[in-house]
Amino acid sequence: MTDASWVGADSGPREAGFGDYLELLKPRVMRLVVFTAAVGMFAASAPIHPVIAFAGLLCIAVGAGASGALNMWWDWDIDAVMRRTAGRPIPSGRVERGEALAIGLVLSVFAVVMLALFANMVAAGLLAFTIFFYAVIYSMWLKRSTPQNIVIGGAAGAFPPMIGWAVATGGVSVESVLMFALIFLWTPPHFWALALFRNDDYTRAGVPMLPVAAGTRVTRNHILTYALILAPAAILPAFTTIGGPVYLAGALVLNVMFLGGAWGLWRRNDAMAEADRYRAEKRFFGFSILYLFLHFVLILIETGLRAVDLSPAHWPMLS
Amino acid sequence: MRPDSHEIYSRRRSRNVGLGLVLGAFVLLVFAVTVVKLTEGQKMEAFDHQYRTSLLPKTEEN
Repeated sequence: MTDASWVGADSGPREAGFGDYLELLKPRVMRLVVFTAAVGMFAASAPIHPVIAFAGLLCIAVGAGASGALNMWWDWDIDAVMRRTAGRPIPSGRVERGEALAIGLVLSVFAVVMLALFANMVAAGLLAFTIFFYAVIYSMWLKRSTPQNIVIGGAAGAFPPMIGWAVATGGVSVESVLMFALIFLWTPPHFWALALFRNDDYTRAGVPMLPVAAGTRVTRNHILTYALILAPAAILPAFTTIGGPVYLAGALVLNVMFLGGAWGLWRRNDAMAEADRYRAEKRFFGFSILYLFLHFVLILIETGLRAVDLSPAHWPMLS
Repeated sequence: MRPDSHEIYSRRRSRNVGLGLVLGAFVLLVFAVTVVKLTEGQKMEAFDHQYRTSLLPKTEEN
């Protein structure tokens, strides 16, 4: 076959462009990871050179992207049957599975090694554990085997602020653990709200999300329970070095609204949800994203206030 | 149809240019971090980022 005849043919594998590879790294998830990691880093108030901070964030972003590529490599069969994910590079035939695996593995090692060199071993160790947790514990093990998949798997998304904190301080502290807890406890109600109105997608893919495995009544109960556990955990950082009165006021408002939303979902049933096409569930899901984002914005505001000496001199602290 | 006008070439070009830019940016990043680490004069061993005790100020014993 001549070169001219080959390039003229429309059949055959489609060669991937640079954008297709970038899409493997889940850029939208990466944005949230970078934001929370940056807040964790700056909230530490430890002296860190901007270049080191930038390099550290880049490593965390690449590590998160690598775990995204590994997730797409493993879950290509699930992705292909779900509406939300059918357009991803592997199910849509733009990137081959082997390429995704290679990119995921190479970038994982690369991100961890470079973070160890740029920052420190603690941060690199946490990043390595996060990638392992997301790719192996969550994607390969929990996701297809238990309705508690996102409860435990949520830890993977909760690590970034802890890694950011470790980049700045070289260690782990109560503040970074509380930032971890905030995302960890927020993840289940967030995804269960999504699962309520995307139930058919998960059923088709055979993923045992809570509404599929235990029904929507149990899911609504769980959302309210987790919102109740989340509220104190989200307010607690107000009484640490990363919090203050602004955080406390904001967190109180946000958690009252979150609890109100969860209460609203708890009072509804399938008939009510189908009647208005899951309006409350969709609104709660949308608000949950804003809820998490604003908590980290509040931490950032407190960091800024401390930097310009506008924090109150006497504020109750946990330790 | 010119062989190089096929869309496969534009995708291949985008991949090559993208990878080139990423590698170039990585070189610049390593250079910048190296400059920062050297100018900050950290008293650390580069290979494991541990404090190099011989560079720390001496403290009197007893």
